[in-house]
Amino acid sequence: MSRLKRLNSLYKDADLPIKHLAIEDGLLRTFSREVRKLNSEMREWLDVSPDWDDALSNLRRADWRLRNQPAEFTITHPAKVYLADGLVKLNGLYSNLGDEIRKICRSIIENGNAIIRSEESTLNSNLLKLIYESKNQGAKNIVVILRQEDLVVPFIKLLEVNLILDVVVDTGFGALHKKYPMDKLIVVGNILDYSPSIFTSLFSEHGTTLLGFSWVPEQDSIGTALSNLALKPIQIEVVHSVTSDTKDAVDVSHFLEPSIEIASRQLRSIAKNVYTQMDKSNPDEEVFPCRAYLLAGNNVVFLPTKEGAIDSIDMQADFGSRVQRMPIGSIVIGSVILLRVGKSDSDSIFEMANAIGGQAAQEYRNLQMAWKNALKLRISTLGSQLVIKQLKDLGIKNPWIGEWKSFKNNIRPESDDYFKKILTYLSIQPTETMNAMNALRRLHLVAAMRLRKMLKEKFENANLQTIHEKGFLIVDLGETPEIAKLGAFVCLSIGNDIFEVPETAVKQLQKVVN
Amino acid sequence: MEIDFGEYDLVLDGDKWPGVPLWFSSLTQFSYAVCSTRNLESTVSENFVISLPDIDGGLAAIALGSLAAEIERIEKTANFDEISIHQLKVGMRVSIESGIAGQQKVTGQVKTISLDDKTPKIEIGSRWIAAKFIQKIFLIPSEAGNPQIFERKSEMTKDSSSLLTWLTSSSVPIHRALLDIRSTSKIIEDEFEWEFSSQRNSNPLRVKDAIHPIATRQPGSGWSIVLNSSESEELAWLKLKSELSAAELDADVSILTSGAAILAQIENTNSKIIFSIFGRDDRQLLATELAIKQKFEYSNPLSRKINSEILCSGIELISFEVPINV
Repeated sequence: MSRLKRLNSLYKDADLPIKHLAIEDGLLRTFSREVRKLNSEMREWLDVSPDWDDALSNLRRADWRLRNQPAEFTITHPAKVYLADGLVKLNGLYSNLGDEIRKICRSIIENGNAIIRSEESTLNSNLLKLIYESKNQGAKNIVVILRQEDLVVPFIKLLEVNLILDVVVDTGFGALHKKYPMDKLIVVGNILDYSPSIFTSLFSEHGTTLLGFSWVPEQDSIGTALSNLALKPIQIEVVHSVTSDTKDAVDVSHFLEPSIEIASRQLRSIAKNVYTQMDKSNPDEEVFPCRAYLLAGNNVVFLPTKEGAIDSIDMQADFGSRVQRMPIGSIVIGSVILLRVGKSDSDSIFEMANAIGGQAAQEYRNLQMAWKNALKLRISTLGSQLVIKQLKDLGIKNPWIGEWKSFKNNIRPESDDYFKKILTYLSIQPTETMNAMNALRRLHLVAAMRLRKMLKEKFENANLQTIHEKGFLIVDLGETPEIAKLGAFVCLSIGNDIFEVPETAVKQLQKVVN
Repeated sequence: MEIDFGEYDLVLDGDKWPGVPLWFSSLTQFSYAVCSTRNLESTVSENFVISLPDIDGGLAAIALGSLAAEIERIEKTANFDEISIHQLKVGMRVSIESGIAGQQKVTGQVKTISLDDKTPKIEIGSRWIAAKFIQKIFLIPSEAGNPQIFERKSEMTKDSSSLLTWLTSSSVPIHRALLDIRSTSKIIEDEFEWEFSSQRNSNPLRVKDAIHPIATRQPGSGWSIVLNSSESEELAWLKLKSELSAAELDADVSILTSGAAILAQIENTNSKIIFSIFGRDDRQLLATELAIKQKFEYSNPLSRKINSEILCSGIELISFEVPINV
C-alpha cells in the first residue's frame, strides 16, 4: 500500500466505530472475580504482609495474562506459572481468617487448579477465529496488537503452529511507529491498558476489533487527550457485542496490568529511606510536592507532581526521534528517562548561545546587562514599590519586579510593546536593545535546539542494548567539558506517596540507601 | 476566496492521486480562512492546535493556506505608489531609480530633503542623490521590511483557477518574514518536496516552489518564510543573520510542528496567529494540554467565528486566544 493511499485511508476510515468482542468463559470468569474480591478484602493487609502481597500479586498477574496473553496453553504458559506459584502461597495463608475469606480462597484454589489442568484457552480460540473471519471478509493485511513486548514472540509461535504466517504482531508503540500497511486491526485486552493513540491514529478499511472478556467493563467511546479542550473533538464509538453479563459497577482498574500497583508498594519503603537522608537544612529553600521514581542501577529520583516535562528515550522510535520531551505525568514503568548530574539545562544553553553568537552575542549580552542594571539601579534608588507603580502608570500591567530575586537573569518582558515602554522609562534608546534581545532570544532557541541535537546524536548512535540489559546507560557530551554527563535510566516503579522535596533535590539522581 | 487546486493532482513517492485529497485541501482552506479574517488592529495572539492521526502533509497544507491569505492581504492593502519628488517627506521609506537610464536603485528612509540648494539633492539612508538624476520614486509600505534593492513587479493577473499557479507566479516585493515555520523533525524537508502535477503544465510544481524559502530569491525582490529546523539549524541561522534583521524575522503567522520542544516553542513565539500541528502521540498530546493549561489558562476561548466544519473527520482542533496577562 502506498504512502499516499495510507494517508488518505487514515482520514477516510477514521469514522468507523471500534468493535468490542467480549469472550464468555465461565471458569475464568469465576476465578477472575474471586481474585478481585480477595484483593479488595485484603487491601489493607498488603502493605504489612509481604506473603499476602506476594500471593495476590501472582494471582493478579495470572488473571491478567489469562486474558491478555495468547500463546500455546501448556504448563510453561506464564499465566499458569504465576498461577501455580500464587496458589501454593495462598494455600498456607488463609486458614486463620474469617468464613467469607476462606470461602473465596477455596474457590480460587479449586478454579485455579482447574485452569492449570485445562488445555484449552478461550482467548486463543477466539483470537484465531477472529483472524480467520477477517480473512474471509477480505482483509489481507491483518495487524494484531498485544500490550507488551514479551507477549509478541509466544503468540507468533502459536500462529505458526496454526500455519498462519501472514499476520503482523506487535505492541502498540511498535505499530504506531512502524506504520504497517494494514486493513484490519485486532487489539487484545482492555482499552485502558493501551495508549489511546492506537485507537485514534490507526485506522483501517475493515476497522478495529477489541478482544476482551464479558465480565470486564469496557469504555463506550474513545477520545484523544485533548478532547476536553477541543472545538472539534474526536470521539470514536465503541460498539459492544451482546454479552450475558449484567453490568454491575465494577472498578475496571482491577483488571488492568497490575505491575505498577504492585511495584509501587515495594517502592514505598525505599523512597522513605532516601527522603530521610536528604539535605533539608536550608529553611528558605522552596519545597515541591514530588513523587518518587525507582530507577535502574539502584537510583531514585523525585519528580514534581504538578507540572513539568523531562527528556526521555523512546526505545521503539526510529533513528532520529529517540530523544523526546515527555510530560512527567506520562512516565510509566519501563519509560527511559534522561537525567543530568551537575549543571542544569539553562546554564548549558546560555554558554552555547554565547559560543554560537560569538562577538555579536557578547554585544547583545552587554546591552542586556545594561538595561537590567539600569532597572536594578532604578529599583535600588527609588525602591521597588515606586518603580512598580511608575511602570503600572505607563500601562505595564504586570511588572515582575516583585519576583526579581527568583527570576535572576531569565527576566523577560511580556511583549515588545511593554519592553519599549520600560526602556524608554530607563532612558535607553529602545530599537537597538530590542533588536539585540530578539536576536538573543533566537540564539537561545538555536542553542536549545543544538543541545538537543547533541543529545540526540549521542543517543541515536548509542547501543540501546545496554539499556535493555543493565537498565541504564551513561554518556558524556564529549568535547564540551562545561556540559555535564547524562544518563538514561529505565523507570522501574512509581510511588504513590507525595514528598515535600527541596528545590535542589528535585530531578536529581539519588542513590538508594539500604 | 475558495481554495482550489484546479487541475493539479497530488503526487507522492511517484504515486498520483487524482485531484488533491480532501484532508489536504480542507486544512489549506482552514488555515486560509483563519488568516484572512484576522483583525489587523488586535495585538492578541490566537493559537490553533490541530491534532492529526498522522502528521505527514499537515505542515505543507497549512503553510500554503496561510501564505495565500498573507499575500492576498498585502496585495490588497499595501501600496507601492509612484510619487513625485515634491511629494517627498522626511521619514518616508522610498525606492529611487536614478541615473540617466534609471539603472541605479537606492532604497531607504528619506533623511534630508535639500531641494532649494544650489545643487538640489536628497539623502536616502546614508547616500546623497542629486535631484537631477532621479528618474522614479516609489513609496515603500511599512510591510516591505528593509529591502536593499527594491523592484516594482508588474501587476500580475490572479489566476483563480488554481492556488498553486497563483502562489508560484506571485511576486509581492516584500522582504521580511511572512511565515515562521519551526520543527524539530525532518518533516519540513520531506513535505516541501511533495509534488503537484498537471496535464496542462509539463513541469510539476513542488510545495517548495509555492512557498519560496528566502534563499531561493534575490534580496529585495520576494517575500520570505523563515525556516527553523533542528536538522539544519546552523544553515537557517546564517541565512537569517545575513539577510534579515532581528525585527524583520518576526512573522505574523507561525506554524509549529514538533513533539519534542513544544512547551518551549509555544512560549517563544510572538506571532499573531500560531498553528501548532501535532500527531496523536500521547506524549505530544499531554505536553500540548499542559502547555495550554499552564501558559494560557485556556481562559479566553476564541470569539471569532471560524468554521471548523470544513476539516475532515480525524482532525481535532483546539483554538484559543492568548490572554494579555499570561
